[in-house]
This record gives sequence, structure tokens and C-alpha cells, in this order.
Amino acid sequence: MMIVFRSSLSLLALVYQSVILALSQVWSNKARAFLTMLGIMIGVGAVTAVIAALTGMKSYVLNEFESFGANKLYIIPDRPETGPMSNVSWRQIRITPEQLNGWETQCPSISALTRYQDFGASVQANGINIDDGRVSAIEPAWHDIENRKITIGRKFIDLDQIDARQVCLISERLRDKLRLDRDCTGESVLINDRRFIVVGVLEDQPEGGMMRDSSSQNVVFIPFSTGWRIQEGFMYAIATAKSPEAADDARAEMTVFLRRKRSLKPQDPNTFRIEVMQRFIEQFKSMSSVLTSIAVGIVAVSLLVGGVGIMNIMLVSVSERTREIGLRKAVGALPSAVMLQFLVEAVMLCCIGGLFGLVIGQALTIALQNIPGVNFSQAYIPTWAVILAFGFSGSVGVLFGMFPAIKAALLDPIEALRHD
Amino acid sequence: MRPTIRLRNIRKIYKVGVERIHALDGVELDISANEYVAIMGASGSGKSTMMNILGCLDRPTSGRYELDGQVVSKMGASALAKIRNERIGFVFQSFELLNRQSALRNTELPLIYAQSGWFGRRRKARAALERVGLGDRMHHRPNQLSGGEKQRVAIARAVVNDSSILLADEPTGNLDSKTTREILDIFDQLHQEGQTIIIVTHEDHVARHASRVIRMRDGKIVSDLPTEDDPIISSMAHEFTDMHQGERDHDREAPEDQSSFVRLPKRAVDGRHTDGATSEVNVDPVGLIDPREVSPS
Repeated sequence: MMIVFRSSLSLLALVYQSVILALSQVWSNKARAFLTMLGIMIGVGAVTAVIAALTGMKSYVLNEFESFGANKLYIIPDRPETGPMSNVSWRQIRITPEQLNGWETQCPSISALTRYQDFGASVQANGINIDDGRVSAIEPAWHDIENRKITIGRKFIDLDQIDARQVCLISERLRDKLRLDRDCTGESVLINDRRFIVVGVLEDQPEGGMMRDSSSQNVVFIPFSTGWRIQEGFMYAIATAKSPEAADDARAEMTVFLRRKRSLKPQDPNTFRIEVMQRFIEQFKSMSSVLTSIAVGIVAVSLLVGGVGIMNIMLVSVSERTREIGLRKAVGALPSAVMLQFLVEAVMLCCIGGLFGLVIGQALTIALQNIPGVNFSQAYIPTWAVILAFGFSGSVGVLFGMFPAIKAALLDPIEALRHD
Repeated sequence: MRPTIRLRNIRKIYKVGVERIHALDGVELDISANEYVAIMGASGSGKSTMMNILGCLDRPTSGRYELDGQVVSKMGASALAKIRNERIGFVFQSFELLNRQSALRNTELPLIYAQSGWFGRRRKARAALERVGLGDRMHHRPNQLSGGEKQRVAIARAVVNDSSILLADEPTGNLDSKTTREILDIFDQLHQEGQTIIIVTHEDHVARHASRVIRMRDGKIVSDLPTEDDPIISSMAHEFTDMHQGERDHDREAPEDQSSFVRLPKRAVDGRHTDGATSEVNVDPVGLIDPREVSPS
């Protein structure tokens, strides 16, 4: 026990000694050490900056997805690309409002569903005409699916839908464009020359973002049944699963439900598709991790190149210090102790290089964050990247320091002391 | 009493191409504790090989080497490293100090590699440096030290681990005559303190300090006699006496250089004193001779 304790202590002491020695060696050859470390520095700097950029991009995109709703499902008619159904007309493919009747009992994983139709329309009030307006026809459940606040007035209610009332919700921006009063409830607007009474004002969505275009701001919302009466067009449905995890179940239930409703035979392909946000998120996540690993791989190659530089300089160091190695061996340094000394020196070089590299990476990240017009404001170096960068530079040190260290360890003390 | 060193039929054969060179050819040797032995011989006589084997830097091709009763002739590299660390102190011709480290750190080097030497190594190194009279220069680096001081650091390093034997390979080869005497005085002092010393040299006036002289030729021991019986050294004894006398006169002019360890060599006062004129002609300018390259035997 005592012997184990003692020998592990003396091993620790040896490691400590090697670290001190390596530091003084690096310090006394500053310029050379710096040039040697350059490869590692650039490699680590690049990998951390790239990871920071990808992390920033990923969290930005994921935030977008989240704000869109991770548990959302889109049910969209879709013509199969092959098979007998691929030639049928869009009329036959389209979904009708009735086909979705009864989803409540058949799709337990779905908490809310709205039929949805949108089309371009002219919107007119106070003599102001907006030609590129859009009408979104929605059911009251839409309010449970989308998080759009009503600032003034009320939401749609079931009665609006059942009676197909000529009422509408209007966005703040469109209200201002039409020069309506701030509280414009009760006033009327003309949508495709039909008179609609404004019952509520919707809060504007924040500008920008990759899922919204600016025209979405010129939207008026009307009850779905009213919209369907105006135009029996290309409708689809938006649903929410009870949770993001239930999204796949919801999708499966809806698929079975719709296939039956649309009288598809077992061998027929789906004539619709159901897109789940969660699925996009997962796809995006896997894509971004592929991107990250490609970037890490590329930078790993540059670190390996840096490692060759380390090996080169360590070989020079071993041959320069042959006499010193001989002396150390003569006074009783074990081959393993000599090996440790050179290995520690190589690892030290790499880790110091890695540290400088991290500083460079952090500087690049800060620069990225401040590029105007690019959404890298969320870029940061995650902890795992720091650990990875250090782990990798350390491994490069071990890998490429091993050969020179073994060379030093195997030197014959007599030959080494005779070296000049 | 068991001898510290016991060599039995030691052979060392080097293969150079197809040729086999017998660097050591059946050497038999016993050295007891606290002996002071000089190994002499010309280049190629096998004395360097002998030194390497005695110092456990090399293994004999055949034969048996016992150090403190332990058979070391068949040990592996790591076991030999441990033996060197604990039992042997080396002093080399060219000092072999680490230039970036202080005298103190140079001295404690063997203890860094010792199993139990880590703790208290600073204290031991200080004590060793004080033994060689460098107590006031512990924090100087080799480039701030004179040749003699460097060699004294090397001697401190050799004795810091209380080694069984101190092996010195041409320890005065790079030193002038005055410093040579200082170093030899330190060896004398260590010897009196009980240290076993083996000194490899080709210089008779260095060997003269030893109590036993072993002469080698062609890998064999050709003579092994007490110093006073060695024909060459005893025939030249008067010259050394004079030389030391002359140096002492010189020292008197610069007393601040006088180390407290410098004392009269034993055999310098044996009364055999001839007239000054002859001796001056015969003084060998020891330190001025280009130190002969010690080529591998």
C-alpha cells in the first residue's frame, strides 16, 4: 500500500517535473515554439469559429421553427409522382372540407385542427385599395394553433363559422394602411367587393424571419365557411399534435383517417402529404450535425498537418538534446521517464497552441456576431467545442510526439553522451 | 568482507562488419569499499568500455558483474537505470551539466528520477554542494561558473544520492593544472570521507592520487598494483611533488582563490624533494595538453 502510494506520488512528481521542464523548454525557444504551434493555432481557431457559426445558425433556425410551432402538422393535397393516380386532375386530388369531418374521434393525438384556404384579394376601405392583399380563411381553432394575439376586439367564434358570417380580423399594419381607426371594430372593409365587418385586430408579427414574407402582413382573416362560399379553392389544414413528441403519432392517425375518408385502396399511394414541423426540425438538426462534423473533419486534417510540424520540431529537439538525454539516462532516468518528458513537451506545445487557437476562435466569433445583416448574433463557442479542440490538440501532441519521444527513450546513454 | 565490485571473466565483444573486436577480454577485478582506484591505459585499451560496464551503462557480452553483491551483468535497461540512479555517480570530462538549470537543480537531477528521492531532494542537493565547497554558488547557472566550479557541481551531483561508487571519466581533462589540483583534492577529501572512487585517466599525475593503479592494454588488465608500487608513477613521484610545491607558491599570491578544501596531497609531502631547476624543466603542463579524445575502445 505504502509502496503503491509512494510510486504513484513519484510518478506524479515526474509528471510535474516534465511539465515544468517542458514549459521552460518552450519558453526558452519562444519563436520556434510559436511557429511550431501556428498550425495547431490556426486549426483550433478555425474549428471553434466554424462550430460557433454553425451553432449560431442552428439556434437561430431552431428558434424560427419553434416560433412556428414544433408540434404543427400541415395536411396538404399531393398528387403521387408515379402510379395510376399521377395523371388525375388537381380537382380530384384536392381536399374538401367534408373529408376532414370526424377527425376529433379518429385522431386522438391531435388537439386542434383548422381547415385553411388562402387566396389573393383586393382589400378596400376609406377609398384606399390594396391589390396585393391576401385572404386567409380559418376556423376558430386557428386561434389555438397560431399564437397571434388579438389586441382589439374578439377572436372568431364557432358561430362565425357555422353561419358563414361576413366578418374579418385585420392586422394592425393593414389597419394602418387602410387608415382605419385604431379601434376599427364594427367598421367595414371590402374584400373582393364584398363587405366584411371587422371584429378584431391581430397583433403584427415581428418583421423578418425566414418563414414570413412581408406580404403576410397584408392579410385579412375571414371564417373558413365564408371563404369557401366565395371560392371553393385549394384548401389544406393545419393541426397541432398534443405535444411535439406526439407529432408522429398524429401524422400516422391522420394518414389512416384521410386514406379512409378519401377511399384509397391499400395499394394506392397517398394523395396528400402531412408535413410535421418536428420532422423538419429533426432533419435540420441532423443536417446541421452533418455540416458540423464535416467542418470538424476538415479542420482535423489541418490539425494533423500542424501535428506533423510538432513532430518535426520534436525530432529536432531530441537530436539537439541528445547529450542531455544521455546524461539523464546515466543518472538513472528510466526510458519511460525520458519518453514522458518529450511526450509532455509535445502535448504542451499542442495545448498552448490550442489555447491560442481558442483565443483566435473567440475573436472570430465576436467578429461574426457583429457582421451586420447576417444572423450570427447567436454564434458562440459551445463547451463541447472547447473540450473537443483541447482534446484534439492534446491527442495530436500524443500522436505526433510519440515517435520522437520513443526515439529519445531508446537512445543508448553511451552513444548519446558521445554525441556532439 | 564482500567486495563492492566483483568482475569475473568479463568480455565485451563489438562486431564491426565481420570483424569481432574484443574490447574487454576476460577481465577479473575486485574493488572493495572506500578504495580509490585509477584505471589507466591508452586509447583503445578498453578502459572506456570498462568504465561503461562498471557504471552499468553497458552490459558485458559474457561474464559476471556483482555490485554490492547484486548480479547486474544480466539486468535489463530499466533495472540498470535504477542501479545507476541509486549506486553510481558519474563525473565526466566535459561536465555534462544542464545549461539552463542552476547548480542546485543540476545537483538534484538524480534525485528527480529516484523512487524515494523526491522529498528532501533540495536539502540533499544543498548538502552535496556544500561538500564540494559551492555552498555560495548554488543558484548560479553553469555559464556563470568556471570550469572547476562546473566540475565541482558535477561531483556534487555524483555524490548526492550517496552512491556506492563514484566513477570519474577523465575528470580533469578539460581543466587547467590549478583547477585540476582542486578537483583532485575534492576527490581525496571524498575518499577520506569513505567514498569509493574509480577514476579513469591517462594522466599519471592524476592517477597518483589513487591508492591503486590498474593499467589496461588490449582489453586486458596488465598491471594492478598499489600506487607506490606502480613503476611509472613512483619513478616520477618527485616531479609531482615539485609541481604541487610550485602551485602552492602561486596560490599564496592569490589567497582569495584558496578553497578550504585545498589541502596537501598525501604523497606530496613524502620528503622526496629534488632541486627546483630539474623539476621545472620536467613539469608537465598538464592542463595545457589538448585533452586526448577518449575514443570508444
